[in-house]
Amino acid sequence: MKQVWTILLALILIQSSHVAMAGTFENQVVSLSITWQSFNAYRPWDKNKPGHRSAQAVVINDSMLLTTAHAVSNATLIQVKKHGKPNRTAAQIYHLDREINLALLTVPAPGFFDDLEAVTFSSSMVSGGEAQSVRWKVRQLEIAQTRLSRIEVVASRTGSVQHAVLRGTSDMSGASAVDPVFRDEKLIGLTVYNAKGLVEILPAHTLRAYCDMAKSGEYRGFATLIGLSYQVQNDETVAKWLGLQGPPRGILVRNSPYGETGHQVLKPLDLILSIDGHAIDSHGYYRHPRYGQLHFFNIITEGHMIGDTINVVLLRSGKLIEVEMPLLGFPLNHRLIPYWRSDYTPSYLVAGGLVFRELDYNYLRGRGNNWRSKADTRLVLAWDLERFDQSPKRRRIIILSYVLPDTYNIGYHDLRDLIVHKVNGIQVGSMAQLTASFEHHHGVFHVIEFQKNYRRDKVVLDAGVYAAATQRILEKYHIPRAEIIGKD
Amino acid sequence: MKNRIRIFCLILIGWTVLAAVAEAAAIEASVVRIVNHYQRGRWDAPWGAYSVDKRTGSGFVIQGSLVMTNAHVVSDSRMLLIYLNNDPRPYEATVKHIGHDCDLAVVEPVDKSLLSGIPPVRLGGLPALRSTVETFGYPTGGQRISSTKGVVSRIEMNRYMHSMIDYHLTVQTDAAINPGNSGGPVVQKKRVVGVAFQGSSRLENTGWFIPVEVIQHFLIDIADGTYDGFPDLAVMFRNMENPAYRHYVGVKPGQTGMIVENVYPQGSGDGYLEAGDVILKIDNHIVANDGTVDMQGLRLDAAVLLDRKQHREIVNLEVWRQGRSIQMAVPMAPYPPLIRKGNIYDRLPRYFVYAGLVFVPLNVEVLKLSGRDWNAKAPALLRYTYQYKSIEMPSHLHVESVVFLRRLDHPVNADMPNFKNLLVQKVNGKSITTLGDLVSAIESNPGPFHVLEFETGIVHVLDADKAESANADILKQYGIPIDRRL
Repeated sequence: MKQVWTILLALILIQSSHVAMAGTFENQVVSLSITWQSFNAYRPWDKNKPGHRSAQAVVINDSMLLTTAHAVSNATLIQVKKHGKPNRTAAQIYHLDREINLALLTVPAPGFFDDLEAVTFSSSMVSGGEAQSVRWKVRQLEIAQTRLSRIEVVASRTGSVQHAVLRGTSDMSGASAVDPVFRDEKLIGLTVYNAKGLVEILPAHTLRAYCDMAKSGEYRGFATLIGLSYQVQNDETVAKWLGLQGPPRGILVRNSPYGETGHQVLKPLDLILSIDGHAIDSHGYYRHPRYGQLHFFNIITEGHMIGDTINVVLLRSGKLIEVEMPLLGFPLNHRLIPYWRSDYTPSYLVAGGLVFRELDYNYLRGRGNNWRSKADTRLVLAWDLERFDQSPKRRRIIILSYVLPDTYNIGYHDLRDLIVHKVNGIQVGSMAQLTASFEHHHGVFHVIEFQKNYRRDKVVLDAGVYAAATQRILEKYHIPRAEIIGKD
Repeated sequence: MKNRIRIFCLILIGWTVLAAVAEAAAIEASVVRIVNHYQRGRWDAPWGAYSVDKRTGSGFVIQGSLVMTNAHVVSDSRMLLIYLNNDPRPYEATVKHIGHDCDLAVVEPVDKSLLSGIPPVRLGGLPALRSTVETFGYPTGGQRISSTKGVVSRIEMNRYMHSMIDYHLTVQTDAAINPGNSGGPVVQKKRVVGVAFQGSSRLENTGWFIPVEVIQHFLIDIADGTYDGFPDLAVMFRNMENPAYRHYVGVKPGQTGMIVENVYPQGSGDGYLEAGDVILKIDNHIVANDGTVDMQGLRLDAAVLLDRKQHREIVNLEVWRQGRSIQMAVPMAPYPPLIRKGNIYDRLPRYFVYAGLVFVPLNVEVLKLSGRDWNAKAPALLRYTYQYKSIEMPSHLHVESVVFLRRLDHPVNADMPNFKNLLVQKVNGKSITTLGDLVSAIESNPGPFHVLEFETGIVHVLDADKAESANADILKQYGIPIDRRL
């Protein structure tokens, strides 16, 4: 009998603690309703059908909402609901950083924040134990158990920054772009991934650093080493060959792409022994003062921002040297093939029915989940092998996407997914160069040369009737403009 | 009178049926069942081989007491048996000639008198479109002969899947061509007009047979006792359908042809043709702007004319270059760099094992280790090098890229990062363009380290003394009879 009373008491206590927590979270968590629309990857002059997604945001000081950049990507309208009530209030993006995947929103409606309360960020990152994921769902606040299991360093899902995340499992089911996660009523992070019960949480210290930087008005952003390729170095023979005294340690540099943090400082076969005073082991890990072994990429992100300089100790050609490494970002537009792009208008050119555009992840991913099998093999290989390899002369891979058939371009109708090499003798490494090479050419023909391939290396168009043919084709295929060239 | 007509008609029908039965019986007597016990080398463990497996197909008796069949029926053979029609006894045979590029082979019974009583088939010509043909063979491994009729629906150049890289003339029919039919004759008016060879799982009632033109090419080729293979001009042609393109290359109004975009080094066309040339005529056949020629009323890919040539035979070209017409006689030869891109049969993998590191030449069999979907799943740099590098950089056509396939774990190499499928760039400072280069770079190195550099910037270093002394132990431990097959 005593046991029954004990169990009942425990249940009542659990229930009451949930009720108490719900009361706190009700004022700290709001739901977002986002209408979004992206451009069509294959008809870059057209927008796709608008979509709708739900997400959560947390209230922070200074009357702002914090959510992920992914949640509000390509948004045409952001509306906020609070306290589970159906009334919607329009919100606006105050600041957004795709590289770290976070965004701050404001709500212009006067008094919106009056009955809301800012969350308290957890001061230390937890790496295990229980936490609560919180989400508004059908006018009720749902609180689900989340079990944290480990800390890892991963690349942002929308950008280039490599940062620590908490990984674990959650009972929170159903789609939401982001859920806040609390422990002891303090925010420990926002989920950036939630599928099949597995969650990945961007931790509070990163959220706080982002908010402070964004609100300061001097946003510098987070640095990264995402393009750095290196090999782990646990081999005594290699250590001896490199001239390292003592046991194997450090990581061996293979390459650092143009424009990235390491590019000016690191060289192939440099053995990185320490960064910012942290010794790097033979697998690229360092001892984090609070979280134990973490991947060295975290040193670049945690406590640093773009423009800071950190100290690196290297073994180069058998000699120990110390170098200063200025930290840089590596935004999507620094890549030869940009990763997921959102909130952008794709650049394109329709020239005599030939549809040109930049190769980016959006284009490849446009083939669906199985894009690696369905997209053109050469383009997939370009993604695999060259995506970071931008250079001043080659900022982008420009492709002939396909041909809008017309008598003007007969003989070329089946061409698609070819990498443009030159137009009218000018090497093409950007959309601006592409359009200029058509516009400033006064010859009898437009000659387009592709990177050698199995289909066709050269296309010749009649320059005399080019403008009229292009106009006719635009009208035939209901294309509003022959070109859009973005600033990127 | 009516009765007489009726009797005449009955006799005529009876005679026709009997003649058809006799005709079928004559063909059936020539059709054999082939059972091939084959064994393929293992490309993932190149010193070993897969278990012996069995493949059945069909064949037919040709002149010289030989049996013609498909190369894919008899490739990698360890024990070849043929069964004659209505004879349950197996007869041992050997492959006399095999053309993997045209998927044809001739087989010879060990008992050379075995086929002496069987009339060889007579070869016909190219069947007309929409005419009826009949296939004979032993589909799906059945032990009794089967025949099906179908209509010739298309005649065109097509890919021969056996090699994966060759294109020759094919005839498409709706006669059922199933596994086991392969190698069987396709007959029209008592004559063989083709060899059944491939079907499609994506299309219903669609099969292809190899026409007599290709069969004859193979038979003429082997007449001197060796098979040279189909020559290749080793030139990339493109259509010239666009009027602006024709204007650009300066051909006269009414002139037609196809444009030469690339001439591959050391191929038949190298030294004769140049990029930008227009091929106006091949052996006096006018080439249309879409790259086709008229062949007795059929419009076929112009390459069909090049396909008719034997090794060292001359093809006559009329070429438009810089405003004038040039006649040239080009001696034709097969192009080994292209042949090396195809599926590999009848050869065991080449390899070299050193200090537990397994090296092999890059080929499609290595890529296929990534599974059926290798085209999407094989390591990117290997796929790029195999599929595109030689197109984008033709000088690479003659390079045999060497792959570090995998590591056989041993204390001498256990601390190396467990990378695999890496392209070897340099060993001990020497550039590697063949497997032989790699062996010699290691064996001629007097230094204390072997330094292996890979195309991705990865470096492996071996202690030369320790590696040398570990070799025998590793070979023994992993059951490798010999460290190399070069």
